[in-house]
Parts: sequence; structure tokens; C-alpha cells
Amino acid sequence: MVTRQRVVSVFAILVLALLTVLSLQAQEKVQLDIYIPANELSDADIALFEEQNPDIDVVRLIETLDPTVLNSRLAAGDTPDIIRLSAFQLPLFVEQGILLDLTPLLTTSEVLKTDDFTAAVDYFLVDGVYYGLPKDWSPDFSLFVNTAILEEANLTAPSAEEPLSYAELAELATQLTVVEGDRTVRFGLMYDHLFIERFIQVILAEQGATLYNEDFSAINLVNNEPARAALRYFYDLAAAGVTPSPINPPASWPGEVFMGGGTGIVVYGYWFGNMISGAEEGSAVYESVAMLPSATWGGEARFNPTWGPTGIAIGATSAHPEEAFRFFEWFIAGDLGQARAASGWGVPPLKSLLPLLPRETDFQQANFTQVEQEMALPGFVIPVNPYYNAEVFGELWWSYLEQALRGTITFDELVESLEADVNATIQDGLLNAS
Amino acid sequence: MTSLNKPFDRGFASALATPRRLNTQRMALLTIIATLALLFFIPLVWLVISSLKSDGEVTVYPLQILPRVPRWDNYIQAVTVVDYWGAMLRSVLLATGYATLTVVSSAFVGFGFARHRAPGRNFLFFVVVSMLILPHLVVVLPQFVLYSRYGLANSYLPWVLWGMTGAPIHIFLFRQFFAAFPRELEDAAEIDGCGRLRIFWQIFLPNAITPMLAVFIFSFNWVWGDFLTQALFLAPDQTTLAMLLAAAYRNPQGLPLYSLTMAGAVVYILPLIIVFLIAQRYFMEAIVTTGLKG
Amino acid sequence: MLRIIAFPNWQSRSAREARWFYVFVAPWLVGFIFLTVIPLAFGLYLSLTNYNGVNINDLKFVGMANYERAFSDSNVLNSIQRTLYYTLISVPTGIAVSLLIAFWMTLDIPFKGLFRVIFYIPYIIPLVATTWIWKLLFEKNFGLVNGVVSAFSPGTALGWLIDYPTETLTLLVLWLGTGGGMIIFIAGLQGIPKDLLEAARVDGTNPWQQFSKITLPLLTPVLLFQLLLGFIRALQIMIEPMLLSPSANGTLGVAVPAANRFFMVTAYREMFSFNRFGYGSALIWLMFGTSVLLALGILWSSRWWVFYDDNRIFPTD
Repeated sequence: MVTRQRVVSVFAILVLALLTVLSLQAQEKVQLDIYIPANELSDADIALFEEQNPDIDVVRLIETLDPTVLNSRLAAGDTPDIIRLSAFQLPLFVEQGILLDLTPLLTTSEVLKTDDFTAAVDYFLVDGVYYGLPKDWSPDFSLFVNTAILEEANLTAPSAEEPLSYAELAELATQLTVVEGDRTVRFGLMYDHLFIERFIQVILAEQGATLYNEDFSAINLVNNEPARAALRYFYDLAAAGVTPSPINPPASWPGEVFMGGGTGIVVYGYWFGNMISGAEEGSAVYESVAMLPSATWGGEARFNPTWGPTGIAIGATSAHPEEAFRFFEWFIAGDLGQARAASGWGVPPLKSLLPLLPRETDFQQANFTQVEQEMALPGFVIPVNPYYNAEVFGELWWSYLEQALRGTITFDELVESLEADVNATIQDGLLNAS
Repeated sequence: MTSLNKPFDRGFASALATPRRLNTQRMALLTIIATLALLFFIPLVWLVISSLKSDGEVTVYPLQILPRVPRWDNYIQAVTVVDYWGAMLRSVLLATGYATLTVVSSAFVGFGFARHRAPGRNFLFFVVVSMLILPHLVVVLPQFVLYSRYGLANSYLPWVLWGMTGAPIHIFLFRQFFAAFPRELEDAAEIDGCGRLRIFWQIFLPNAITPMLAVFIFSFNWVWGDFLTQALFLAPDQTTLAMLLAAAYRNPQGLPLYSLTMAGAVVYILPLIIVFLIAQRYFMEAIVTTGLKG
Repeated sequence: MLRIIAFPNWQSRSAREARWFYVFVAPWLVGFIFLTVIPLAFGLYLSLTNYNGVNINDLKFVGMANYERAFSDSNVLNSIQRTLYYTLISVPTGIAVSLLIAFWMTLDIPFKGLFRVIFYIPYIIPLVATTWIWKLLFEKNFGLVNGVVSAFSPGTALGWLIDYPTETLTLLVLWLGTGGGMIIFIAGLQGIPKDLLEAARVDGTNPWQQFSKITLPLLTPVLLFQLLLGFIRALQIMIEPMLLSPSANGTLGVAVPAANRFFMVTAYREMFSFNRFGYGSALIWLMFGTSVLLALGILWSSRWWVFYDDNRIFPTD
């Protein structure tokens, strides 16, 4: 007969055994919750890392980017150990104390040394403290020109060493534009209008001017002559039909249109060269593209920074900062970081990884030289306004540009409305932050 | 219920005009109607023609009406260069699941309204009818905010919930249909000791095949064709046909492939048109009931 | 409480019937509360805060600020004007065309069945496909419509989707909406007693008199419902202009031409482009309130122009 005592004792032994197994396992492995999508950290990558680090168990929280996952974890105070983030998100995250100060870890790191950092890493530097590292970046204001189109227009390709001025760029682009009747057959120049705020800030920085107040509480356009001039430049190009505009929209995003021969010049970063390398024989850009230095407004200096890189950081409340940092090192500079550099989809954050960039074809070699040349320029971090998203500027610009080009508002009214709307958005952000 | 499949008899014709006498007038009217019908039909013809062109032929200027050679291969490519069958499978599952649930739940609720007296019934029915004209968007956007707040977005759950709770327009349809059943049917069953659930399940539902079919087809079509809620509530790896079609097909250079998009669109809408042509009658009867009577 | 007042006898047949009633309507009732009332109330609550999609745990109560803002926001005020313009051109044309075609379909015309199917098919074609067709037809550079225009006036290319977006959108809605309206009107027309029209004919009235004096008044209940649905649909139009905008390749809310930035497009942009979910919720509530008022207004006005026999939209039982 089964006594009560016996049942209790068997049960107790079972519980004890279970607890022992569990605690042994817990001792054996440290779990890292990682917010990085699968296209940047595949299952194979995870398997490789776990093989190299048997004491760490990596849990990838998402398949594709899903801000709701991150937001709900942050809201619950359960910050992931590793967070993928863009330079645009960084200021707010730092302010909210979400990210770990990497300084102590970096001073002892064998792999990541601050003197090996490229200038783009400064996007993750706030008040002298490193909060993360970009996974890669590109000099995003480089020009890609279709030399076949230049030849067709009897023009010679501009120098790969001497930068064009913005005025020269406009002139060249105008000559490449082809219009038949009411139809635009080919644009002269295309750029990502959603990031026009970045263009304006670089142009202003060349002249020693700024777009925002010192504390980012307001944007200055109306009484900011250099900013007006820069906006006017892009307005005039749109009005002349040299660049697409809301009333003459492109078929697709600038890169696609360029690949199809729909524009003579496009403004993009090094990574775009990789896309062109993949072009098939017979396509509009097959062996007929040159990467050129960024255009310059003229002034104290020329810059060719990235719009804002994407990278990773460690959660401030991580229970295993040491292990998280080991993953961090591996992701940036280990096997995965090296593979990323060799793929050519961006410039690595570490100077020591630069030699890994692809240099098999003449085009790749030329692009590599171009990157080295642009990296010799003074480093510049385009300020990120923590209170609103720069793309909002781009979208507002695009919608007011439509009204201005239709003549329902003047250029001056465009500038005024843009300033007022951006300031209203900044006020929203300030209210949230206060 | 008026059957629209019946040929229209001489109602208006005899009242308005004596056909033989006004022959030229009739010819003129026929010409106008035929022209208008042609205008309505051209977009579909253009869709099919474009789907058989090469991309160069679609975007060429000056316009080229017909393809030099019809490229039937576009259809094979349209379903192979993207995960077409995967998206179709998800569309079918989502639409079938939602439609099945809606048919049962709407009939259930409609039966409740049609065959029971209770305090508050008229008020609740008024609410159901009001829901017919409630802007759908006004509810969906806050629902999305609420769902994503509680991590319910990026799943098929919203469709299950919507399906289980019935759609006002279909509740209305079933209510109208069940209200016309003779009382005796129910009384006899009750004397035999049937419970309400069994009366619904064994007497009313088997006699409601027509509206069930109509509601099924309607609900299926709604999910099949609806883009907004799928774009809002589903994760990118749960792409349905509506989402797939909206984000154009691209070639290796990344340019939108118009002809493949059009071929994909033809495959996307063809099942609907076939089902419509077969089930025309139920379709139209259901529209008439929900849109007219009350 | 309720039970005691409503059903003095809990065991009576009527009480049992009432209980079953609530069992049967429970699925809908629960759904109505949790999927309609609560989201709406949640939206109302958010509309009084500075919710930006992230700060849910740190919401600030801003009172009526979002509503006040709407009435001084030139984007919103302009969008109201555009929405009214669109509503006023699309609803009457939609109803007139479908009524006219329905009327023709009741006449003695050959191939009527075929015509009816042709007019109806666009109604079942999903919007994503429809907007693609429209983009191909009305594209500036290689669209069919401009191809025809060019044949008469070489070099001319009208920017249908960019320069006349509201009119192009109206054509699209007309194309896809006519079939549904037509079917309802056909049924309505068939419901009109033939002897009435016959009698009128014998009295020597002309077809127009018969239509305006007999057919139209008897059709007013149907018209009322079509008008209600038409107005509500037109006021909240959003997804159609978004999918139709030239650069919309699966991404929404970007670069909808100014003329097509209707009220709900603006609300969507505020929420999903500018992350102003609080403000967007306020705009949605303004739309909700307006729709309710408009519906009530139309119903109230119906007492003067709708001819009722026993066909009421809201049954009085």
C-alpha cells in the first residue's frame, strides 16, 4: 500500500533532482537576449558564435525588425542584452538611460581599441562616452555618375579626386536631363529627398553655420541665410525638372531609377557601388559608372560623412555585461564583422578591417580608393535632433514643395511653413521628453 | 426576395415605350449603353494585355497597344520569382478561416435576433444596423494601436476575433432571412423536446444554405481583397497576396516589373471572377437584401 | 437587479426566451464591446494625451489641446476642404451613374445580362489590383489614356495622377463602385408596382414624368440608404488615394499628392509618419463625431423627401 509519506518523499526527491538539473544548466550557460533581425544575424551566425562561446546561449528576439518587441521590452524594464539601433535613436536612448556606458569595457578590450575607430563611430559617442558601435557605414554624399550617359551628351567625366561644387553639379545635371514634350525621359540628378535635412546640415557645416538651436529646441530657416540658400538650391533643381519633384515624381527610389538609366547622377554611399557591381551585362549601368567625391558648397571644409549609421549597443540593465560585450566584439570585429566587411555592403567601423573590402574588379578598386580619399577628410558627425525624426523634415519639405511648384505658395511661404511645422514637431518631442 | 436571374419581364419596357415603334431610339440607347460598357471593360482588357507584354513594351513611348508576341511566360514568372504560392496559401487560409467563422457566428447571432423576444432586443438591433454605417477605419486604427500595445499585432488573431464575433451586415442578412421562417417549424421542434441550440443547428441552419453561401463568398472576398488591415496587422513574413501585389515585383536591378505585377494581379483576381460568374445569383440576392430591405 | 425588474417570473417562458436571446447575441455583443467600444474609448483616451507610439507608460494628459490644434492646423483645415470637394463630386456622380445604368438595365435592351455582368465585375476586383490598373491607364509617360491624348495632340502628356489626382480617383471609385449600386437600384426599380406605371401611361404622361413622379419617389428609401453609405465612405476615404499615389510601392502615407490628402489621409500621416498618435486619435474622433452627426442629419432630413410605405431602415417592430 502506498503511504502518504512515501508519496511525499518520492515527490521531494523528484523536485530536488529537477532543481539540480535546472541549476546546473543555469550555471553552465548564460543567456543573452538579442534584438537583431535575422538578415543581420542568421541562425548559422548564432550557431557559429555559440560554438566559439559554449558558455553563452544566444536568443534572437526577432525575425525581422519589429519596434513593438523592443518597445514592450523597454516599457517593461526588461531591456535586451544587445540592442540594434540607428544613430537617430541613440540620443533619446542615452537620455532615458537605456544603454550601457562602454568605456570601462573598451579600455580592457583586446579587439576594440578607440584609436582604431573610424570617424563614423563618433555617432555613438555622447559627452565623451561610447554607447555603441556602428556595424558599418558609408560616405553617403558620394556621387555616382553614369559615364555612358555623359558620353552620349558629349561630356567628359568629372575628376575622381577634385570635388565638384554644388553649382557645377547643378550645371552638369542640367545638361544630362532629357525632356520630350511633357515627359521627362531622364533626370539629371537624384537624391533621397527624405534625408534632405542631412544635406542641408552638411552644407551649413561647411560654412560654419547650424540648422538648430544649441539645445535643439528649434530649427532656424527663415532667418538663416545659408539654410535658405541651400533649400533654394534644391528648390530650383526641382523647379527646372533636373531632379524629380512631387509634380514630376520618379518611377521609384533613386537607386532603382539610376540602375535603369533614368538619371545621370545619384547621390549615395559606398554601399551603392555593391549594387552596381551586381548589374548584368547589357543593363544601363554595366561597366559605365564612376564613384566621385561629394560635392562641396565651398567654405572652411568639405565633409563626406554618413547620414547616420546603424549599429549595436548593450542594455544598461544587462545581467551579463561581460558576456554581452564578448558578443558585441564578435559582432563588430569577429567572424561576423569580418564577413560583413568582405561583403562590401558598407565600410567597417574599424580601420583595421578596411583591407577586407572587396577589390577584385577595377570598379571595386576605384571605389576603395574613393573611400580612402574621403576618409582623409575631417570627420564630421551630422547633429541628430533628439526631439524629432529627420525624415519628418523630408516629408514636410516634399509636401510643401508640391504647393510651391504649383504656385499656391511662394518659396518664402514654403520656408516659413516648413520652419513652423518642424518647430511644432520639436515641441511635441520636448513635451514627451520633459 | 426578388430573383435577379429571372429575365426581366415587361415591367418598364411596356410602361415606358412600345419597342417596335421607337426602333431608332432603342438603337441609340443600345449604342450608348454598349459604349459605356466598353469603357467599363477596357481597364480589364488593358490589364490582361499588359500582363502579356514585356516590360519594355509596357513602359514604351509612344504607346504600343499590343505585345509583339504574347509572353505567356510572364504568368509562370509571376508565380515563381516571388513566394506567390506561399502568399496565396496564407490568403486562402486567412480568408477561408475568417469566412467560416463569420458565417457561423453571424447566423448564430442573426438567429438570436430573428427568433427571440427580449428586453433590449430592439435597441441592440438598432446598434447592429448603426454599425452598418459606422466608418470602418475609425475603429480599425484604434484597434491597431490597442492590439500592438498588447502584442497582438503581427498575428492572425485579429481575423479570428473578427470572425468569431460576426459582422453586422451579415447578422442583418441572417436576421432578415430567419425572420421569414414559419413559427410552426419551431413550435413543433420544441414540443419534440429540442433545445434552442438544436433548433438552430438542425432546423434553421440547414435551411439557410443560400445566405450562408453568399455570406461566405462575401467575407472571403473581403479578406482576399483587403489591403489595409493586412498591411497593419500582419508581420512582413506573413505576406498575403494583397500585400505582395501592392509591393511591386522587381527585377534584379530593382526596377518595378509592371508586366509581372499585372500577371500576378490577373491570377489574383481570376478566382474571384470565376466564383462570381458561377454564384452570381447568391451574390446579387445578398446585396439586395442587405442594401435594400429593412 | 435587471432580472427582477424585467422578468418578475424567472422561470416563465418569456424569461427563458430572453435568456436564450442573450446567449445567441453574446458573440456579437462581446465583440462589439471589446472590438468596437473599447478601441473607440481607448482612442478617445489617447486623443487627450501626447501618445507618440512609444511613451505609453509615461503619457501626459494634454486636455483638449489636440482638438484645439486640429482647428488651427492648416493641413487639417485644407484636408477638410478637399474631403468636401471629393465627397460632393463623387457621391452624386456615383449615385446618378449607378441609378441611370440600373434604369437602363430594366428596359427592353438586348444583351442585358452581359452588360450587367460587365458593369458589376469591377465591384469584386480587389483594390490593390484596381489601383495598379489605374496607374497603368493614367501614368503620365506610358499610360493608355495619355497615349490616346498624344494621338490627337503629339507631345502632350497630362499628369493625371499628379496634377488631377482627385478627378482620377473619382473615376476609379466610379468604376469600381457602380456595379454594387446598380444591383440595389435594379432591385428597387423592380419593386415598383407595374400597374402604377401602366396607369400613368394610360393617362398620357411622358416617360420623364413617370420617372420623376412615380419611380423616383418610390425609390427614395433605397436612395436614402445609398446616400448614407456613400457619404460615410467618401468622408473617410483613405486607402484608395494612398495606393494610387505615384510613388506608393507598398509603402503608405508617403507622397500622396496634396489634392488627395483627405482628412483620414492626414490623420494616418499624423499617426504613422509623424508619430502623433494622440493627435491622430483626436482627428479620428472628429471624423467619428462628424459621421454620426451627418448620418443623423440625413435621417432627419429624410422625413421630407423619403417616401415611406412599410420599408423602414430602422425597424420599429
